[in-house]
Amino acid sequence: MDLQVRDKGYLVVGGTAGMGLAGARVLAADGASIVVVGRDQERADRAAAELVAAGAAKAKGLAFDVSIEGQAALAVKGAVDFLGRLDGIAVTTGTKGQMPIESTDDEWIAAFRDLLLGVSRSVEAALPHLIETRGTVVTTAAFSVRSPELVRLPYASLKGAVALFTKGVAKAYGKHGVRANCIAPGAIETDSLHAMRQQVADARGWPYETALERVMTDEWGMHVALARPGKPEEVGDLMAFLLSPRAGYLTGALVNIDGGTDF
Amino acid sequence: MDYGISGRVAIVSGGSRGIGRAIATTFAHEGAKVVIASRTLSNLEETLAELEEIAPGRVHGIAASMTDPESVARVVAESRDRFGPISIAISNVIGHVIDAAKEGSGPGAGTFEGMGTEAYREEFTQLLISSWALARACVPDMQQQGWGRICNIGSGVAREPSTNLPHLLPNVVRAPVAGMHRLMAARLASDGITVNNILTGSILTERNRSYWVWLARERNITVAEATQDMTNRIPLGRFGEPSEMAALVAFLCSDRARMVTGQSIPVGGGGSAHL
Repeated sequence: MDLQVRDKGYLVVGGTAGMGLAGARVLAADGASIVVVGRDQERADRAAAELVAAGAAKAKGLAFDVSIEGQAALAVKGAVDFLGRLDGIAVTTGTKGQMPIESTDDEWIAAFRDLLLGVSRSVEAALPHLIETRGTVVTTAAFSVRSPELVRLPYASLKGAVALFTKGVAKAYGKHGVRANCIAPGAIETDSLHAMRQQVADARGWPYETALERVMTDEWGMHVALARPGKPEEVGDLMAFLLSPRAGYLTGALVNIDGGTDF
Repeated sequence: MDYGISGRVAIVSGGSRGIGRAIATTFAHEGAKVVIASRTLSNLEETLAELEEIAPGRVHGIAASMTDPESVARVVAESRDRFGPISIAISNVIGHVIDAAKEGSGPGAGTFEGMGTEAYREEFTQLLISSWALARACVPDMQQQGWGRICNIGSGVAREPSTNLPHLLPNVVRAPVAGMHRLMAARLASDGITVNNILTGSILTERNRSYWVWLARERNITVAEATQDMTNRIPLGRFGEPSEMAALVAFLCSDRARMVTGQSIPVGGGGSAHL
């Protein structure tokens, strides 16, 4: 099924690695134009080159940290300048807050900026452009917004806010033809988790193939029906589908992609 | 995006009209072998002719009731004989049939005080037994292949019962259907089978059109006014096309969506109120 994204322009904030890059790759394969934003320019350049090789009509990497005041608006402006339009934005940033509730105000505020404000500011800056194209928004929360874990309650709380924010955007901007959906991933074996698999296997002498799975069940208390972490490509496929016109009537949905975690 | 379901055998119940027909069409385009089952032979033949043009030799139709477990088992056996083991099962049986002449007093519509035991039994048979029977008959094939996709075309009322519609029973029965699919997802994940449920919202089908006719008469307004009133409740400001529902179902049944299971996903233009 062709995603019908040729002649369309997408911005993936957090798209220089992991799930965001995986989603951008799927859009690229069907000929979209893409801007990826990450904190590191070199990495962003590499991602853009990879997307062009994968089939993107054109691609560019920009270095911004959307958790810093004003940077989300600059990222969106840079994307629109390059693409000439904006048909969709995905925001996959936000990793802080994996800490106890007793964390300091400064730590909570840093998590808030990273997890919620980076998303809301990026989407806010994109909305005027999305209204023009009847475009679409995809944000990323976490499976734990439906099944909060005590060990990282600040993270789950702020990801929950991302889900609620996205639902609100869907309701408020639907009349302009703008769609907004939220993905809730489970444990996904991105570079950092992949590195952890090796570290744990080495440090504890566990078999490499099941080291991460064991950490997930024994230490994180995650019960995954598929009994494995997800792959970034698997999340990327869902993200690209939601960003595409194929999902034209799907808005305000919160979709877990977690292999059936904590049933 | 390659869905990776070329050559897979898919059964779509209620496949001759509306949403089921759109799903069957999408599967046919993606290279699957498609069996549609429907009670009405005339509808079936028309849809089959259309599908045959897209996928010559890859479609088959069976006139059968998909609410009777024995009949469902026959459909599955015949499909297997024709095309091989079943990989994809779409349960798409509607509850009480909304009939402009009967809505408001027919099966499914009514009050807790007024609904009889038989009406409840009938609705459970229509919605729950039908999807259970189809899954049960197909799961052994899926387990043997280590790959399967079950998707139920449910309703948004499973999560948010509608209090402004006259039909009570779908409101009651759609929720246990969703629950059963979630449980199946947990039990079947280790066999490579995913199970998901669609929370159908405002999709433009004959069924919805007949509902507007009833609604207009009930409120003494024109059909156009009734249609507009329903449309105004949808954030996207329009009803969806069956093909827009089919696109999600096809994605969920693709090889790519292997990590998405146990989900109930609304397709209703943002009409679902809750997160």
